[in-house]
Amino acid sequence: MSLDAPLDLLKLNLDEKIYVKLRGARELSGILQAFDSHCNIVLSDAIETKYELVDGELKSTERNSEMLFVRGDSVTLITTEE
Amino acid sequence: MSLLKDLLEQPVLVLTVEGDSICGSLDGFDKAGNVMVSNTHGLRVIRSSEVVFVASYDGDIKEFAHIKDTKNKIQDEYLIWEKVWSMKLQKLQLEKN
Amino acid sequence: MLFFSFFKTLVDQEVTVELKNDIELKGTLKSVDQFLNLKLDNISCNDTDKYPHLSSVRNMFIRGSTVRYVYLQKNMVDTNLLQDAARREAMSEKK
Repeated sequence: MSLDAPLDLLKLNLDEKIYVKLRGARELSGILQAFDSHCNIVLSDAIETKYELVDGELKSTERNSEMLFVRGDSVTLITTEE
Repeated sequence: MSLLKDLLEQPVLVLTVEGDSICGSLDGFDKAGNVMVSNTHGLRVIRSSEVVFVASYDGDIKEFAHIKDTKNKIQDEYLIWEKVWSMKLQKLQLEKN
Repeated sequence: MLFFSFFKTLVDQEVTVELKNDIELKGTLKSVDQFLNLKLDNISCNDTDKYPHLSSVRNMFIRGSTVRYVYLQKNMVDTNLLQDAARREAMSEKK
C-alpha cells in the first residue's frame, strides 16, 4: 500500500497502537479503531495523560477509557507510538 | 438542527462558549443552529457558533455560576510541552543506560 | 459520514460526553445529526457542586464543536465492523 496522503498513515495503523497529541496539554495512547478526514478518531484501551504546571512543577494525571471518541478539532499530532 | 425541535417553546438554559448561562424560553432556531431566547430582559438571538448546549431547564436557580469557556486554551502551553519532552528524553536515556 | 453512522448505532445507549470546558455529562444518547451535534436525555453532571444550576438539567442539545471526548463502553462497539467502515471511508474520500 502506498503512502501518498497523510491520512494513509492512519489506515495502515488501524488496530495498532497510536499516540495522539491534543490541544490543552493532553496526550492519548490507544488502539486505533476508526478515523476520518477531520481527524475524528475512536481509540480502544485509551490512556489520557493531562499535564499541568503546579508551582512550576510538571504534574500529570492519567485516565483510562475502554472506548473513546475524540473530536478531531482538538487533535494536533498523530504518530505511531512515542 | 431538528434536534432542537423538542425544546421549542420550553424553558431552556443556553450555555455560551464564553461560559455564560442564559435562561429563557426557546422561541426559535434555524438550520444553522442560531437560537432565539426570550426572558424578562427581552429577546436574544445567539449565534450558533456561540452555543455550547441548549438544555431544558426547570430549576429555581436564576443566578448562574460562570462556567469555564470552551476555547481549550492553556496559557503558555508550550512551556508545559517543553517540560514533558525533556522528562521523556530523560526517561529514554535512563532506559538506554 | 462515518462518525454520523457510528453515533447512530449508539442511540439509546448511555454515554459520557466531556466538553471542552471540562464539564462531563452522562446521559442517554437520543439522536445525532451530520454535524455530530448530540441530543442527550436523563443527564447527570459531574460538576454540580461548582455549577449547581446544572443539577436541574435533564435533557439537552449539545453543539458538536464543543465536544472533546465521548466515553463509551467496549461492548457498544463492533470493532471489526468499525475498522472496515473506516477503511472504506478512507478509500471513498480519495476519489
